[in-house]
Amino acid sequence: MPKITIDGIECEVADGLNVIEAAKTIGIHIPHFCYHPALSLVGQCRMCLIELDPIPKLQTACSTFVKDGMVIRTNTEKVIKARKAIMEFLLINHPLDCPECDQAGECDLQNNSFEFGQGFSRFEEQKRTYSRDIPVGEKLVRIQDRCIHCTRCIRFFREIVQNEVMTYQWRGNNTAMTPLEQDGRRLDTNYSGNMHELCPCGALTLKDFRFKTRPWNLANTESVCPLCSTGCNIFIDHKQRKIFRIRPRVNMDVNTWWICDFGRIDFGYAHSETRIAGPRVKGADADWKTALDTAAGLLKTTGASATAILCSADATNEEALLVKKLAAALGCSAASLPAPGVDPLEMEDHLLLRADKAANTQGLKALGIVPDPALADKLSGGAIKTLLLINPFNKQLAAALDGVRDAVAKIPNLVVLDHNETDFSKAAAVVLPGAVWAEKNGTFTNYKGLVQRINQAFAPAGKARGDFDILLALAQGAGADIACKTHIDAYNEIRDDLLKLEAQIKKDIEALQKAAAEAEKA
Amino acid sequence: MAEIMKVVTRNMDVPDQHTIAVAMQNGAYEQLKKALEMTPDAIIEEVKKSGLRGRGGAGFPAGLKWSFVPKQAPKPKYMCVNADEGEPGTFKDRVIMSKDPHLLVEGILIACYAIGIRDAYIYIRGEFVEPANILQKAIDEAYEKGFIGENILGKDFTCHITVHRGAGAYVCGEETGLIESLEGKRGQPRLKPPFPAVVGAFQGPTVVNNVETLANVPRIFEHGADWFAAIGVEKNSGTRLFGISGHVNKPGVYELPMGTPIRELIELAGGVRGGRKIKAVVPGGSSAPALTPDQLDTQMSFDALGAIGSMGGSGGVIVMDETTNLVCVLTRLLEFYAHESCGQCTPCREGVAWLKKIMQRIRRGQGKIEDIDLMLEVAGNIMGNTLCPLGDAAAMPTRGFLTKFRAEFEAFIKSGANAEGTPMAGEGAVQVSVPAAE
Repeated sequence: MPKITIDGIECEVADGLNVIEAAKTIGIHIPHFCYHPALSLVGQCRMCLIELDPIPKLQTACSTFVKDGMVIRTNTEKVIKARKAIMEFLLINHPLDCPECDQAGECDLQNNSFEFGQGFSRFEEQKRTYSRDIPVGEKLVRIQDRCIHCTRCIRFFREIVQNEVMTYQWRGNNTAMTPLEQDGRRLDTNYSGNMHELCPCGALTLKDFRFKTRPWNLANTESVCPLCSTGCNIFIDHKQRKIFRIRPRVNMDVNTWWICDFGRIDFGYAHSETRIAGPRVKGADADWKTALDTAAGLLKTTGASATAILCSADATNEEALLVKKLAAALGCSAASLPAPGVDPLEMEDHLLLRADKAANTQGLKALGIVPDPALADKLSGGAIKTLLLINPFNKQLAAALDGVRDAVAKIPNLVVLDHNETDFSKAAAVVLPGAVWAEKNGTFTNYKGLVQRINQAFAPAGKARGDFDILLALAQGAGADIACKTHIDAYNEIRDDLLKLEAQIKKDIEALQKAAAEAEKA
Repeated sequence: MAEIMKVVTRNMDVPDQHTIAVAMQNGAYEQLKKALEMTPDAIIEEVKKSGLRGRGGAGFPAGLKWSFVPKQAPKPKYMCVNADEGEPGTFKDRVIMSKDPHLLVEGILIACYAIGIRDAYIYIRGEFVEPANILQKAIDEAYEKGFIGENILGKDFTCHITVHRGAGAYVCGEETGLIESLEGKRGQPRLKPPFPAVVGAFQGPTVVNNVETLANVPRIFEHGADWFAAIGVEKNSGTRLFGISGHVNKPGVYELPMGTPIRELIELAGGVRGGRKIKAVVPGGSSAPALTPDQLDTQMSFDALGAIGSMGGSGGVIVMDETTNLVCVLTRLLEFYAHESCGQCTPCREGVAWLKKIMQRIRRGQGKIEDIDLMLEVAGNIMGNTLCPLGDAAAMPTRGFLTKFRAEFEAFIKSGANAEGTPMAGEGAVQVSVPAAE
């Protein structure tokens, strides 16, 4: 571990760090624009210039790697003067249109100009302008006037997404970061939305979020994306019970800095017009007590062998525990359906997207709720007279149910617990409006077995209730004696099972990796 | 009075010297034969002893540069010959390639043998169509004679030489910009370190040498390092091809010992046209700050010019007579540098274009006295803060002109004259009377 001195503070830092990261470990911030830990080093913005003994010229902190005995100064007059110079250079052609820019409030350029900029401009010449509002794929809008040429976008698409959809155009002072087209078609990726965070100024904005609200007006709830089994860590940014955007939350074990565009943009179902407005019994609106009592009564009518619980893998671990307890009380089975064949090339990639499009397949497996291949036959054969169908809105369960759609709709005692209307909810004897993931507390287990917490951003919409509470009421109605009254109680009950699975999966992955490495050697 | 000393240019007046038959009559490839009998280390030692410094601009000792290349490298090593010659006022390498291409080829081969390189690329300026054709022909002839290719002269030495034409960017004369362009990428300099000697072309260790530097190598082996070291002045050995242009009667390339005073070069070039007085002289390509008439006894060596705040640079000398309008000159220079900035790093991309816009405004007659201090500050903010030397190359002459000739710039601004579209010098140039210094 090299010992270095930064601004007179002696410290020991990890090998292989650059000066920006090394300074960070002792709380010294070195401003920068083009540097990002995930991207290649280019040293282009020149904002991170520092003094390095005994070199007379300032050095870029991003490309200077720590060595034992290094003496670094980040707060000298020379360094501050250089930062001010770079800020002035970056701002002379920038439109300074913060009042109408979406980036304002979370903008590196704005933050650094508060610290190193001036309140006036010495630039009296004509500013450089480009045509505005150029689309980059379907999800981004480019305002090149604001661009500070850090090239993070070009490097992100080249190095992380491995799909170059942007490139340099022109050169010198007229350089522009330009989207590429092929055969008149705008090139796009499944990860373009990450430029929303990565762009250090407002040059690339998210079409979905433009002009909606100011970021400082949003509450940020830490959660996990439910759209596939990767379990990317996210922030749900919301205001007045409405999601405005989803942002990645750094977790180096899961999603690093990124999320995919599906996870970022496909949250409309939380606020869609097809949200189930309230409980229904036989198609008529009902109050919760009536609906729950009726449902609990129905589930007990046809006997264990003709009763089943079918659950999507979007249920939290805690909800899954209650499903198990309810099934035990009823004496029936609780299962999911095998996922239909998917084209893995289309659905899965080198970065984050997984073919398994449910949030908690592994968690359900740990609790013994596994796909039951025989269940589909039983459903189509009419053997099941009573079915509690949980979350058929989930894409994966919906696809699995495709072949038995009509048969299920005809089940006499069909109880549907879901957040959005489907053919099944419309046909159900009892409909219980549940919550979307943003309205829930609980845990998901991702494909690697990692148990991750989701937090409630806001209460369930309208008359809807949390799935945990609904299942608790159903289980109690079915006569089960349940000690865990909250999701935290439930988690404590299943914690060991979940962690055992996590350790097992970790071991399996390690064994696989070892085998692959040995195969490569051979 | 200085005398022309023909070392590199010795055979350049010989008719058909560019053909291998004539060149061999004049001793071409004899030094290669000699060198192949020596060990690579001995060759590098000999070049070090000669004190040969890079003729491209920075004046870095050539032997030392060669010795930086690791002997054992996991990747192939490469030689890149910098024939981009883009510095305004510079036109010496073109002469070597057009008149005596085999001298360059021989120099490349000796260097490659010494460093252990099998592939050399001559990155030649795109506009040099004729020199590129001559050079290619010379290389083809040398291949036929067995001087280039597999097992050269029956020895265990294989070397291939490829001519690669640039696409017209000044910044590709910067060694890492050249390498990027050679690799087929956007021509823009790389972040250093790693330096090309460690990671260069195609990720392999790479030596980038100027044409004139390599053309000196056969002569060192012909006459010995001591002979070479004795030419010129201390630490600036050998001769230099000075390309003199501007307001002189006989512009052209003159080979003189290093350290010759500038005044003597100007006299050799026939003196100033029309017997006019000199206003300013750029001593080493347009990036070198101009000298005033009282500095003309300065020796033209890397060190003497560096000592007075200018530089030897590429050896391109531009003479400006008293009719020259320096406002037009600096505007033109800044237009060039702003156009040639690659655009990747902030101070150069933004700062140089800013300087250009201010100068254009001054030239239009809309300047303010404060603009001069602003420009000096902006130039100071560019200096030393850029990724490659192009930013410095724009800032240095800006500071040079504005400090040394400040009175003229001030007088022009005060006069309110508009010099847009006027000639830079001579008849039709906008003249302002500069008050005599107190």
